[in-house]
Amino acid sequence: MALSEKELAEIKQELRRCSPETLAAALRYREHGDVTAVPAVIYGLIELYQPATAKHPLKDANDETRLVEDLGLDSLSLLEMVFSIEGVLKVQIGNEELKEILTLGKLNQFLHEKLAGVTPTAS
Amino acid sequence: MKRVVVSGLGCITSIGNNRAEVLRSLRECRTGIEPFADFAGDDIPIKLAGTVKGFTFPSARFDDWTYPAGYQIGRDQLRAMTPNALYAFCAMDQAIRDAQLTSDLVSNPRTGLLCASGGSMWLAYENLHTIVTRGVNRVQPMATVNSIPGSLYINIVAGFKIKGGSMGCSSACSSSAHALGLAADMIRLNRQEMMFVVGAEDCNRFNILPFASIRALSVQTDPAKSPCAFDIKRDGFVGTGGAAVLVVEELEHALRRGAPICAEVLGWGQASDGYNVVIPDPTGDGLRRAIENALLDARLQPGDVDYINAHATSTVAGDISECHALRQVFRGDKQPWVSSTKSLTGHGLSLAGAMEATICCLALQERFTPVSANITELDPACADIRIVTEAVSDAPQIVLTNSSGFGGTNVCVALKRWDGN
Repeated sequence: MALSEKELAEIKQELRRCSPETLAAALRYREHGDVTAVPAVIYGLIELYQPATAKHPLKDANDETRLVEDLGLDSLSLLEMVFSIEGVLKVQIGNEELKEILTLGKLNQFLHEKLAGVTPTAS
Repeated sequence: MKRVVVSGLGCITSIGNNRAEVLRSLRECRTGIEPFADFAGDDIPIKLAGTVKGFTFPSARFDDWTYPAGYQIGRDQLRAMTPNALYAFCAMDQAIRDAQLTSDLVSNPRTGLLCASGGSMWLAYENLHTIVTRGVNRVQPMATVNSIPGSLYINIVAGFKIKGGSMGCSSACSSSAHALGLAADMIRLNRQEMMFVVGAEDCNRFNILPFASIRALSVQTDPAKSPCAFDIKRDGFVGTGGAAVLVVEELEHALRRGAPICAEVLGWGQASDGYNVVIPDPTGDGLRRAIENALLDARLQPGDVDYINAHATSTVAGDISECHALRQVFRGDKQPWVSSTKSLTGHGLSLAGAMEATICCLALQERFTPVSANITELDPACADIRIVTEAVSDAPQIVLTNSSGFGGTNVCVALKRWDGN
């Protein structure tokens, strides 16, 4: 689906501090519905919000990596990231759903299912 | 009762971003006023502001902001800030170093905080506009924290891990003068040993231009001509922002740790006009009583006062009212020097009291009397007041600093040069 100029500008604005790869992945999803591009968007956003003092570098992360304890995202950074995900991917993440998303794998799985039109198995 | 001293200063102002720069500007009568890009456009009749140099705020997003090198501010701290809190963070950093405080003394149950700011009307507007136009869930997570006037206090108390008593003052343009007076009282009553007094304001169209509709702002375009408090041609104030921090400390505590004391806070007074929402009482009665209360509290006679840093914003009504107050209190042979340093800095609103107390501390410590800039023709209605129209050699020993605000609130703080006893 072709994006309007306004939508494109909003995505670029939201991701302006992320890598070009993150933006390209977001556009692949938004323009072509390619849900396989979503993990790259998540990766780029975590890179943006992860504090420099984080215990685990993002490059070593796997599905079991915990967002708070391992990647060092505090509750506000998590909210900022959700805010960006909602804006870029046009998806809503409810409070109850958010409580269940504790690992990188869970986040990717949740978004994959939600964006592919499957009822997410968040719990 | 405990005695109170000022042992550290920090300043982000239109005339300098540290005490050395501010001192030089005051001594050389160098203005911080200039045409302000934020006021560009034919639909804005106001052109001048006391701009804060070295900071940029190109959007409401904190990660677009820039600030001078040398300050360590984490993303987790910056994301909750307003422009005024960012200025204050930098001024706090300076004041802590200036007062030679260890981190144990900064974050200590006996060290408190008093903040004064009108809040960021800009970020409040941006956040509410987002809620109205894009929906409740699209406003950024820190929307409440950086929309309310308490955002200065919230950011500083958490950012510096303050553990003593902490609160905010909100009394319009006398807010940070109130904060200084109340901080001194907390130390005198032995409730705290040290207090940070912080005044800070944004500097942009949102917190300055609302004053245009009541014709309180100068429409001059030449910074050499305005603001010109006490001059016959004055046509309103010029707004500014920034931050000023004073470290206020119990005397014995300061002496024990060998603190670099710059002045003693002898006392303070306050009184209200009981007159009008925005217009000062033309007789100056409220300010007169505030000054008299300060003299009484500080155990001073009018003749003891060497210099008064007037509130004098350069509005027609305000300057005259203040002159009435001064002439009623200072009737004796010895008349104090009077100047408005707002003619160099601009009017800092909630920041004004702390900024001008900082200037008074510099004047006391560095032994000079600040000039009232831009006066070419003194208003005859102010002619009997001993206004510092050009540099004088007198080194003040006792000074007063006046602040007044909307609603008719008036504060006067008495400071004395620290000579070691």
